[in-house]
Amino acid sequence: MEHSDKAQLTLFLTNSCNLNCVYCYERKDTFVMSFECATEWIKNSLSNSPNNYWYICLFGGEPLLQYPLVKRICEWTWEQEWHRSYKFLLQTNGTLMNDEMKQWFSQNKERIGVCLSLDGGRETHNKNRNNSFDSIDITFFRSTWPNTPVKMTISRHTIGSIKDDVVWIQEQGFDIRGCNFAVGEGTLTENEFEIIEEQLKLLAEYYISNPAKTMAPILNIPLYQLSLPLDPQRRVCNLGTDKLVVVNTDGTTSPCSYFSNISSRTTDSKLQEQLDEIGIRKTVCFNSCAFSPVCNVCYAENYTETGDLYTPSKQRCKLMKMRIVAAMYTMANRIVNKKDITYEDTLTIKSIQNYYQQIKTNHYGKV
Amino acid sequence: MEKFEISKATLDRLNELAAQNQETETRIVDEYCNCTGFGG
Repeated sequence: MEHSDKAQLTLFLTNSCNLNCVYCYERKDTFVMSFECATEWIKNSLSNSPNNYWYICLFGGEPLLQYPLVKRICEWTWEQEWHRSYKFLLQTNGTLMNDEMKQWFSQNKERIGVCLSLDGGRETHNKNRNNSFDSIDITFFRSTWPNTPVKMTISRHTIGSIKDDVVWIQEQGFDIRGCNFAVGEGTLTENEFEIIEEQLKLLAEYYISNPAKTMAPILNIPLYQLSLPLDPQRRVCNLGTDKLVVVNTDGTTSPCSYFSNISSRTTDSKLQEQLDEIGIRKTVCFNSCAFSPVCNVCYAENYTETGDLYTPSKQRCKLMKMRIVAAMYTMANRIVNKKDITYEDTLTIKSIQNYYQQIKTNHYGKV
Repeated sequence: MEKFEISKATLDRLNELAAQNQETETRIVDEYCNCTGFGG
């Protein structure tokens, strides 16, 4: 079933975590959301909202540190009659899943899904995520939720194995939903950019040689959109809309989960002003960059890197353009080997014809 | 950049394919999620 008016309620159940990942941006305090607070927000969303379908995302820190609360919130919600459809999602590092939890999640797997933070194979994952690989029961996740969504983060410590890590995760049967570079690690060197470029090339060749494989988000860029009219109303995310509600442990709200960690700690008055108009303004390059339609710029990331919500960092821009060129290369070589091409393929070809030479000669610079 | 050099033969073939497919009525549904989900 498709839900055109899907919305997301993110509940920060706790800010505590049992890990200490190299790129973690979250504040580590001991606050825990109360049951009453969580259920009040769920009631509000599932009773009064114009959105007909809600993902209720149980977030942290590590939410399984508060497993009794997770269980109580879910079971209370399932006992009620609601006018809106919904599904619970648990964002977890997977390391605390014990036998009791496994049994409960298995019984309720249709009603609560998970998104697992997994950065790659053992070596990569351990570099980024506190040597926690062997604490995750990969088989349990894979068998309980086929195509378990995975959030993969690439740090500067793991850029040298991007291709192997993406392939490994996909071969486990997981669905890579996020494949993002860590934020706040400082400026990448030219050598590091070259390593990333080399890894994207290896991944591109892998997908060209394996045309039936679904491309991971790092290369699966909707190039066809470059050949459609630019939608001036296009939002880069649901920030500032009623489709994204993020609730902190104390019941206050934040524009998104990342801002939960910075907006309440900062005295930056400009940030507060900009947060008030978020979702309305576009980035400074929105109208001038040919690649705006496919750029997954992130306001929170902008703020972290440049101190301004609407100014993307040059480094992020360069990485985005590198991914676009790699995607063009991959898709061009995939499409020529297809028996039947779709309308989307036709638009992708048009995008490549129009922009490949341009982006190529600019060496990922301003277009 | 030379890492992602698309060969002339490939570009020519893309041109041929594009010419063969002039369908204009199909609507493309945008299902792309632009949220980075943030690394972390």
